[in-house]
Amino acid sequence: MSAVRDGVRQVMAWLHGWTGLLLGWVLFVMCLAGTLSVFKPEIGQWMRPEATAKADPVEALATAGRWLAANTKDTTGWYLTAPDDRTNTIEAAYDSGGTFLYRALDPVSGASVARETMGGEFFYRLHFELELPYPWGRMLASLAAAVMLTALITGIIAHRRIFRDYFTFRTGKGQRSWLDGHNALGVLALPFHLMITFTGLITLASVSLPWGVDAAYGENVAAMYAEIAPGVAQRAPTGTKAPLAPLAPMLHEAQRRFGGAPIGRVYVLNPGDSGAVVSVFRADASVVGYMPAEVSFDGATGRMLAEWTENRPAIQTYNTVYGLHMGRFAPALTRWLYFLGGAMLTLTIASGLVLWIVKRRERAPLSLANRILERLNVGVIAGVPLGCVAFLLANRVLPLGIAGRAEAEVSIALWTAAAALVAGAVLPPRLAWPLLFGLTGAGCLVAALSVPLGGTVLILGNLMLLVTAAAFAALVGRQLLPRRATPVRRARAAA
Amino acid sequence: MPVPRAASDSKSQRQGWRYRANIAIRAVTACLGTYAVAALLAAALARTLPMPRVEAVSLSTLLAFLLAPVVPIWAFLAAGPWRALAGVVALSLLLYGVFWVAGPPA
Repeated sequence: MSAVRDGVRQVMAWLHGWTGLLLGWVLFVMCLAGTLSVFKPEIGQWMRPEATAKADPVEALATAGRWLAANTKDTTGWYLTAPDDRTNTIEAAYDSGGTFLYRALDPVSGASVARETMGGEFFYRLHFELELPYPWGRMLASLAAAVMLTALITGIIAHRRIFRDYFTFRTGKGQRSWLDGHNALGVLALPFHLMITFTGLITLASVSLPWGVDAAYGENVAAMYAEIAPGVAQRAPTGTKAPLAPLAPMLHEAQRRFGGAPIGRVYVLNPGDSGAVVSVFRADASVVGYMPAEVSFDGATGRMLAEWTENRPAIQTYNTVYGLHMGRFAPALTRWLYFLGGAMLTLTIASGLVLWIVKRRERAPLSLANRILERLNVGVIAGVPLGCVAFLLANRVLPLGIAGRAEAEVSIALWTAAAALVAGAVLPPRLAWPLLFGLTGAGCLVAALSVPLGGTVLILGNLMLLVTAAAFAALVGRQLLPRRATPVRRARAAA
Repeated sequence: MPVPRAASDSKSQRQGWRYRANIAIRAVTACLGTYAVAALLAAALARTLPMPRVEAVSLSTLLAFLLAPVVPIWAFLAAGPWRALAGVVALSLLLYGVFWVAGPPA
């Protein structure tokens, strides 16, 4: 290459800008939802304040199995996550007559809890499926992650003084301040940003890059699954009805084979059929690697079919990379660091998107395309958090026991975000920013006051909501109160 | 420099169709090329790494993703748009050759 070094930096800065813009709004939604997903079980507890009953995990799973057997029809499977010290319900995903449902089941009665909600599962799904049908949501998320990796690397190469900018923040200077903020946020947790983006790309590999599998296995994908998880028995339904054997003895046997380690997940495939299979997975809360061990049983007889403890180096590396992204191994302090890292990445993306506009507006009047981008910025950056708050408020406002309650909460969140996008498009930005931020802050305040205090998770959740409300109030204050002694040009730029 | 690179072009040069074509070729090379190279690398390594096939698939998929940011950066740093495209096509052909010669694992 004949380029001088400054040329390389210029090209990288240009590429960083365009790749960042290309899917910036998608990345903003993914990072925000992913950051919230760090506290998925805790958000679930906050959204189900009545569900305080506790039971032994094995008993709870067995009870849930009995309720599901009586309440699902034409089902292809149930996917259960055992309760642990962070959740007091069983997270269930199951197929019932062709509809796939996510519900929290009460550990004592086994029934779906009265305040039906997806809870933290909503943010988790939004993070990698973007509320789009399979596999398109996951494809878009993969693409966004790949673009993000490019944006990060080009951002690093373009960066001239990475260490000095760590400590540089010039306030009240328009473009300069936005750039300093963007750099500081991006650099501060850079190793985390690189780790979470690369590992995120890996989690969706089966959807986005199946060509390694294809090259080695061709059409025989079943062989690949059998070799990846030899402890999961593969079996098609026979079509002959047969009741499911009691789950508790199978779960006790699995736990004995895990050396006493707790159960993480239980998959029941084709329940009610003589070809039913019960696969039990060891919990991964105490190890970084995902899927450390599994055991399968014949669903109709309870006889063990297969057993596996993972120790193959490449697969364990893959599972560790996957587990690093999921962060389920993380103790409390690490969990908060994941949350802070995610929050910083979300803010890095938001400030980058704003910077795109600020930079162009300081040089010349905005072109039509950039005026559209500016309004999209308002709608997404201010509107998506508002949709998230609407989700929490809908959880408190919707009457218990109505049909499709959990799905209604999600609809309210999506319609609120859509309305915010329209408001961002229609209203001038200097009005739309404080309006949407103000509503989000007010929503956080109301949500924090919506439940009587009780239990550490509820208290901490409400405190977080109050802190968020204060942050949004401060943002609105800055936008509405013009600071004195600011030159007119800068005041306009900062508006 | 014989061909001015995308971002170093002066303002007046950015308006013309030459500049647009330059960027368009590089962008298409970056988008399609990244996927082609990653997919072919995963496929070629899955057939050639000396380990059980399920292990080879896991490792090759991990390694293929490391290439994701490399191809777009090459596409925009190469001296000219056609050279960027030629580089990606050459690498793809090489990887396809390895994939084809190795054949499916037993």
